[in-house]
Amino acid sequence: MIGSNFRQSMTWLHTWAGLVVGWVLFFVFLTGTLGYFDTEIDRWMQPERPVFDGNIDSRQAITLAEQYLNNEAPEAKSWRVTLPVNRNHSDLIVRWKPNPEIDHNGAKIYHGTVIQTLDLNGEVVNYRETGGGQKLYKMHYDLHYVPELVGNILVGICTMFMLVALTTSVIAHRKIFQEIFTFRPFKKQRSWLDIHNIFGVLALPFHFMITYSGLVFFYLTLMPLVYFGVYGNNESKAVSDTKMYPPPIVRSEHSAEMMPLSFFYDKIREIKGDNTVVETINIDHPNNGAARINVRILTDNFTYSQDWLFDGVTGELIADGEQPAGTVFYRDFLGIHEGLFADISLRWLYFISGIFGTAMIGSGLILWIQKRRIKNLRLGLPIPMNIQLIEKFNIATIVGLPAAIAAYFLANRILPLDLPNRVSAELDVLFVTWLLLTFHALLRPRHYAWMEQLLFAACLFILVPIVNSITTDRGLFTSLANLDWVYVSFDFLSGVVGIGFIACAYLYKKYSADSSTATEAEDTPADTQNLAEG
Amino acid sequence: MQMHPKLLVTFRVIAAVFIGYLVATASGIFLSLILPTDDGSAFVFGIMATFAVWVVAIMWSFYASSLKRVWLGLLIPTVLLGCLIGLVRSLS
Repeated sequence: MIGSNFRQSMTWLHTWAGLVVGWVLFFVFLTGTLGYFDTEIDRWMQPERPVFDGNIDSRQAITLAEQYLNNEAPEAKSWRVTLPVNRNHSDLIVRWKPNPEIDHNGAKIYHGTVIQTLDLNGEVVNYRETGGGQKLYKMHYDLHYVPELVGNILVGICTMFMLVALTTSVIAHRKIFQEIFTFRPFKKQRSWLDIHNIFGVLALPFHFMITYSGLVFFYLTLMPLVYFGVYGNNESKAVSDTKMYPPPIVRSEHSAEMMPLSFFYDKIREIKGDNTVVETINIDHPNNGAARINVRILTDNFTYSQDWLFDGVTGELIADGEQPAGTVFYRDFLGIHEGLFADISLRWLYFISGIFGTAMIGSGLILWIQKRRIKNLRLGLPIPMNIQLIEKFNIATIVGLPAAIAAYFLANRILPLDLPNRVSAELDVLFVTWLLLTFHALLRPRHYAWMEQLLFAACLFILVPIVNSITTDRGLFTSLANLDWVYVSFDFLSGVVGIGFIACAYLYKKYSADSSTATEAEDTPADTQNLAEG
Repeated sequence: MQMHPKLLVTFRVIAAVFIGYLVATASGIFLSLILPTDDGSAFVFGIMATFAVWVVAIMWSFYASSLKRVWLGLLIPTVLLGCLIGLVRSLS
């Protein structure tokens, strides 16, 4: 056993499970939390877009999309029409995947999916290219630079650490519910422990939900052996049992005329009632003998969706969208993770819970350092090199990452609009800023690293609304006059976060001053290496 | 035999990660086979439960009083579940 009893061994496990992947978890929680406002961030990052797009009838939108796709890509491998029905799907978007070409050597050349946004007249709209809130949210499970599968697995493993840290925390903090009401300010290590506990306990159900459902997203990627153990190579049984995915189909040799897409819209409303919300229509092998239409409808509570399959040529129903209890539970669980059903007040609650989670991780990382610094200082020992290093990475994560996100927002306004690969450029600004701040933290003595980064982050966030008002005609006062709440909230919050960083810098200066007598010595590299025990 | 504490922790980590994963996988398959719902639901519930089983296995790996108990405590359920899976398979 590690430690002398159950609680101590679990405390040990909590500390190390949290520390080892703490930086990644901080990144995942922060970017994931911003994802609760992904659509709103998209809006802010495309200032050319009108404040209100106007409404379009779904049936009319389907016809517009169909005309466009028939002109542009009649022979595609698949089409997808996403209808503007709610906050999350606020645009008419068409996508198509071209069929692979055969070159003169007989090899297949694959082309990527083409995505276009259409306006109310079915014309392609060209707002500025931006990663928007979507890329910001997506990086919390694909880590942006690595292949998606690798990113999923890495985030999945870190999420498993998170689940271990959470479960053991309930045991480690014996009096967990008393601790909500415990706050001992300005007591250094005790204060950080209390802060860590408050953020942890106040949103504990959220933290468990978000972590467990995060794992469930990748159930096949993380637990492939269960799938192979149960279904082996029998994919068709897995598909028909769970109804998780539509069954695969084979392209036909000959082309065929399809029923108009509006036919399927009418048909699903005939089956499921006139209030049915059609979110997406997928068309496999359009204008082909094997054409299949997948109509995705939202259930009443919006937490999950159903896929209804039709034959594209005859218009007959192939498979209804009713799912077994397990799949409904699974989709509901993921729906609760994504919070797409949440109205604006619940959405803010999601956001705040996510920020609590981020703060819990950040304060846990700081707490780990504080504990070891104080112990060494009391014994009159120098601070070991590895503890100094970990603190540097803490600074680069806790302050450097938010600063880098502010730089991403600024890049959206400052980078030239006709820059090729503008989306990647914006994201490169984010990660290069983060990298530079990491170097900065490593090179500067800890006090300067903290102070300079806090003030730098403050500057960037305060610049966001200022640069917005200079580069666009949608500054804070104009937005207020237009009751443009997305812009008002974004600019206002950026300013508040900036001022918050200044406050942090002030508090840091004030409460680290009394321990500064011991700090001169420790900024020189120490020779002791005694991190072995936690 | 006295083992270096760092090595001891390393072996616990290996048990937690790899044997823990095996127990979780085995229990996922077992649940998929025996849960009294339709096959699809049993599979989905079974695979979702694996993460909870893994967490318990990890906690055991750092709680058990000796390395021997760590490994036995994880290997015995794995083998047992393997046998049960074989039994259920042969009966159905």
